Amino acid sequence: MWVGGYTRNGTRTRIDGVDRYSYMAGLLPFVEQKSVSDIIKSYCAKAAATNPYDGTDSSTKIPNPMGANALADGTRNPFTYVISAFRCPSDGNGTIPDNGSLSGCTNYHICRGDWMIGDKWGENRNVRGIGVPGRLGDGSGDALPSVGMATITDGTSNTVFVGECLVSRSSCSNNNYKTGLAINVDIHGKAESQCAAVRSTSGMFKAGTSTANWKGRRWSDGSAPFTGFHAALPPNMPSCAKNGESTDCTAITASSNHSGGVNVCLCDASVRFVSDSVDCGDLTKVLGNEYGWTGEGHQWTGASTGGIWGCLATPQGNETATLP
Amino acid sequence: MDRVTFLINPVDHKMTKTIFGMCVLCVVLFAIGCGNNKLKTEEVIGTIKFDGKPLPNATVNFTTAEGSTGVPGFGKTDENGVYKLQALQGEADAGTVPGKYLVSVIATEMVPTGKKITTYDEVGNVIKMDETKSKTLIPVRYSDVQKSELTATVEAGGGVFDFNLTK
Repeated sequence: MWVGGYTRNGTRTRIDGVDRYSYMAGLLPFVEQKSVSDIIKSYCAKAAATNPYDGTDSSTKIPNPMGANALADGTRNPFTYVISAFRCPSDGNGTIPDNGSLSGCTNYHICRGDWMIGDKWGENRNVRGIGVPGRLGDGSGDALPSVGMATITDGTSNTVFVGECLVSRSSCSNNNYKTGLAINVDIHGKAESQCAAVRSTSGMFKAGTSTANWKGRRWSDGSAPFTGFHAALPPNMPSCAKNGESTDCTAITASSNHSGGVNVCLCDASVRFVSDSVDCGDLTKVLGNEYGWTGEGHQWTGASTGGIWGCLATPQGNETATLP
Repeated sequence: MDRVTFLINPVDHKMTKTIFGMCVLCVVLFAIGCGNNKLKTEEVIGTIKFDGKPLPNATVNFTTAEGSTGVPGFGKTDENGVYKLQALQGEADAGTVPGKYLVSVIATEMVPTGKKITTYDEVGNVIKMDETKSKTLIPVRYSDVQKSELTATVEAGGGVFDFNLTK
């Protein structure tokens, strides 16, 4: 996402790589982490002066949100700082040494909307949630969607801002379907049951499922598995990715160690508990249009087809579904 | 005219009310304490075959037919083409509730497009992977409950529902 202060001279001109910064990068000054924010901004300011957008990799010039590598001058990557405010006390996973060797983790994911969708350039990234990835893929060029209070026409009390997800254990084999995510699950443009069906007994993935360990493992990275979630499946169901690439089509599902549900922060800053049994619509409905499938289709405007959970995930659905 | 009289023969009227109240409270507390709010389901399993051969890694969807009081179920076939259905609010692999269902099957595989994509590993090193895209393995009509011509009626006790798909 684009964050004020991380662009060239205060304009919206792109510095290569900044578009991958997560919403949390923008929150830093507001969670008493201004010193971390200042480090990031100082490098971005320098890069802005010397790095015109020519596609070159500027990951050594600005702090890399996708890894732990230090800056070119040897300064520790500020995205490796462990920020306790970004962690839920009930999640003991993903504790990393605070020594710069790994990216810092987070439990708090911004809501991408009511459907499984990719973050890739060229794909329709105009997702319906508050947590919009950096660029519209609808041919409008570099128009950047702005999200502000005025865009939340459903009402800030009826729209989810942030939900919690358990952080993945670093070793894939140690993850269950709440902490890990299944990869090579063909979720693009199909029924949401494609992802739900990897659920097996005892909290485990179905035998033979390939998995990844991406969830929440970089508070810096704006790509969905790290700091985003989708209200496609109800809380504490599996998360999935279409292939082995973390920025491609994913369904990141809210999860927690709280019994029977997850906490979400609404756009009015209140925190509500959402039950695992929240109405999520019919997961067996085919929602995409691949292969000429016909079906009700995922709705890009108007009321969400994803039940109450889907309605809460969309700021402009013209629906004011509220939690019971 | 007959009269039905309920005989409550308390020794002490006030005591009975208290005991009754405590019994109700105990039952309520027990019910809350159980914590298992999962939907009661009937086991539904089966084998999916395509062109006579077991179809692995396919998703089976039971969509509630109009007018039925079923609950949608879904399952994924294993390497032998065997699926165990589950409902969202039920336990994993535990089936779904009785009802009439329209059935669809989605079976696809990811195939390389020939292009490479760039991504990053855990510490930020650039790595390249094959780009893949989805390819359907069975006729598209099976993915649409209105066209698949597959149905299932689940009754009390559940059952085995096999589906043999053709080209």
